[in-house]
Amino acid sequence: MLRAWMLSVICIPLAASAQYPSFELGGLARGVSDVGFLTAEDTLARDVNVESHAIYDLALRGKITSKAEIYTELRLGTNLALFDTSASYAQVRRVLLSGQLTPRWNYEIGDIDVVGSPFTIWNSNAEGAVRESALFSQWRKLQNYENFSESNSWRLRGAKFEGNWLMKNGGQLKTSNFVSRVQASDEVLRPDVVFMGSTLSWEKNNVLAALSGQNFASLGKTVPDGVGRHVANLGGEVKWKGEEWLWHAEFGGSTATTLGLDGLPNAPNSPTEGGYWNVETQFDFGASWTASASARSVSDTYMAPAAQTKRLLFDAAPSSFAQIGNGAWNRPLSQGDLLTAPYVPRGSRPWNRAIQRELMTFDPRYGTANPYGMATPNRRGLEMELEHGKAEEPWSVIARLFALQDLTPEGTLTRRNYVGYAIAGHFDLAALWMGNRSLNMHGGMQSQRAQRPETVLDPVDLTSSVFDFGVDWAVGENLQIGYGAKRISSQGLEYIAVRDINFEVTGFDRTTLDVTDMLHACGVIWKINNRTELTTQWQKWFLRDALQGHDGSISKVLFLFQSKF
Amino acid sequence: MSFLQSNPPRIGTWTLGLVFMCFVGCAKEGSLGPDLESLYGDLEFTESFSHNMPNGVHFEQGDAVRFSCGFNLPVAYTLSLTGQTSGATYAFQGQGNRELDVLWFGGCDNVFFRKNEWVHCLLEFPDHPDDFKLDSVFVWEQPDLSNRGLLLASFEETNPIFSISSGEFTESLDVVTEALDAVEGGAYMRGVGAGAGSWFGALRLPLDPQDLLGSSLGNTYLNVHLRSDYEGSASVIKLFEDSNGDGLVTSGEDEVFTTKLAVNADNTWQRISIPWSDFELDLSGNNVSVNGQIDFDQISRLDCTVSQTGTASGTYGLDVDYVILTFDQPF
Repeated sequence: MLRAWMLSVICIPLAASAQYPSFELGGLARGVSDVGFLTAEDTLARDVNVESHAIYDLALRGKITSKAEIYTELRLGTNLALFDTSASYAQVRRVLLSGQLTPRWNYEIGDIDVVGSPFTIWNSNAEGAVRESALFSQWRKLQNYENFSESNSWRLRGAKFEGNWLMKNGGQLKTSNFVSRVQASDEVLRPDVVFMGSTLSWEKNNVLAALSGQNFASLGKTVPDGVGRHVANLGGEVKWKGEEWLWHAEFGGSTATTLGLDGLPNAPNSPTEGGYWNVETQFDFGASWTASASARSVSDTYMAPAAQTKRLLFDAAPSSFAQIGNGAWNRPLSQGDLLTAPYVPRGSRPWNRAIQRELMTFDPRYGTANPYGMATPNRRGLEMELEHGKAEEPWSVIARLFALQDLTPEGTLTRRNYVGYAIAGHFDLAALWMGNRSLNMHGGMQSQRAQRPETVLDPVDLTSSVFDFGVDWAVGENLQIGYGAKRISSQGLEYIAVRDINFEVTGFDRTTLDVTDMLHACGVIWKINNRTELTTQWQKWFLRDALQGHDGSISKVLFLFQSKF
Repeated sequence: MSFLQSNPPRIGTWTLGLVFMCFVGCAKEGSLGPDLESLYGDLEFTESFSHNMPNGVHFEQGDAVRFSCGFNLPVAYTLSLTGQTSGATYAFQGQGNRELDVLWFGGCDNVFFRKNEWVHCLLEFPDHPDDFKLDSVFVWEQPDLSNRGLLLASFEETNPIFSISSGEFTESLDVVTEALDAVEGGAYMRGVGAGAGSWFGALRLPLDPQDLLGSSLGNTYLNVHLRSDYEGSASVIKLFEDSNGDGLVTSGEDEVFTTKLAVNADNTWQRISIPWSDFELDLSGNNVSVNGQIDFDQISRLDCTVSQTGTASGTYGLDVDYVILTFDQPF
């Protein structure tokens, strides 16, 4: 049956158009093999780890009527481990019904993508990359694709309605509304959780003003004796864009049901409230230079579940070689683990998809200035950015500088200061000579430091840095050799605030770090045609925790075949 | 809207404005969370580290040692006890809410503390490595820890239930009494054999299935103290069933389960604790499989065999002391 269906899929034309209905077929085929090796010194743990899978994602877009369009992504997969059908599976990756209800109203029902601002709804990028090598970034793209995190939007299940009106004075009024069921009730203890939001914006000429609100609500009536809980946000923004200048201001607040240790609302309940503001300006100058500066303040009890939920689960264990050093080191997640986390249907992996109210665990090796993005509670400060060029140009550079501070001191009467920078760019050496064999160098460095002087305590002084470097050399028309290096390091001491479900600081974890992860990759990318490529690469990870006296290394041989159609 | 079409302010004005804006916010008075100095400040002792047995502890009389100390921080601590002649150790770890108050009933992590032994007591704080306290306590007698499980043999018994059995490769197999080097009490069993065999004698311990009611493979532990001075020595532990219920253990009719424990040849006592789930069906020789599973209601006997890790010809031997079954956790 499956074979017949596959044959029919292959044999039908990739696009068949008619007025209605019309269908388009697209998709992705991918084969992956990941073979890991421990060093010879490690004799207790498993020395070889093999993961593999092949998937076929078939995307079907069908325009049924002028009011309804369906989009589905059907996945067929196998783990390539057994020569029978028990290791194969089929699942639906995405279902979306959309269309135009009226000339002014559009709708989407199913797996919708929702995004707001970095303070309201934002799926922040994963830590540990600054313009990384193509050998690493192709695996990061793969993971982002697998975990529905290809942009800063959250993939939710629900409905979205958008309206658009042209006003007589030339202005435009838009509204976007969504509702999503984030958690289903088990009708005993776990209540239904819904997340809903609405935005109303007015735009005329070069001015935009908008108001938005969201509510992350736990519906108490969906469990016996349950009580409702809410985290409600209300915000506004104003934007003005001139020929060279852009000015943007955003502000808002949250009010949340204060919960007790048992997770139930306190009675009588005084809500937990917080707020933020952000002002930024951007201007273009010279040929293609852009500079921007911003200032912001976020209070310690500002809650925005969809902006503060992290993309990664840093308390997860590595999927392969979780213990190295002859079983003596329960090592934490490294960037290599995040990039090569195996895909297992309904299996656990260190990538998160669920929005939650509580602040998630973060890894201090990536710094403590912005663990929850721009919506990190209890921060204020300045950021500046300077950018030149795009990826398709011979060279580009982007530099960022920030200086932040605790809005309210934590645990002492002195604020922590955070300073950091990031610089990244690329340069095509082939621009220096005639010919079409590109030799592209790219990389970046970011570093941040948290400091607080102390008289009695050990002072806070934590430095974290990420370094990326890559070279891609087109040795033939379709053949590219690449090398990538990535270094993550962190040294120093920090007192990390322990926050409860109401974001109240209840304690501190004293953390001392002296860790360095160094990853090397070299490989060959064969572009079989415009849509198909095969990559073989070898990676070597050197992991070290100097304070605990642990180190170890892991080798990986990775094969990736991808074809988009 | 004419103001929106005018030229924007200069960059310096913007920067000044942004810097000014930085100090506009909802900062709170005081600080967030508990005072860090009360958690991670300098450790000061408000009460000295001491115990309540300055004249030594008589475990035989049911005494216990109470260690106490007071300090100004809620810190993590480790109290390590080390026997100066036995080398036995025991440790308490915890999070002291500005005080330490623990009772020691004579427990030990590896081998027993000996009688008439000084025990050094070291109180350390992982987050304050420079702050530690030392004390010592004298142990007059060893504690009776048999209430932790089902004691099968300590070799101190006046009416022992165990027996010892020797064979053609056995050179000596005896209970050594009035021994100062016993891991517990003053007696232990010593067995030595020579040759290319793998059975140089055994300690036989009868078991009553009634004593094992309610236990399971995963939560039943055999704990045995072993010592050897012979390279390659091992103890094969055999668990015999009376599978056919005839009241006898008969080779070829009843099931046997086995596990082998290698013993370091360093002449030092070591405690080995194994769950019964480690036992495997023994089909060597004339042994048979009835249902392949350990049936607790048919357990009849447990043997600690003097053996070797391989089959080479040589001299092998080991000492056995304090064999006890525990339930839910190792001894």
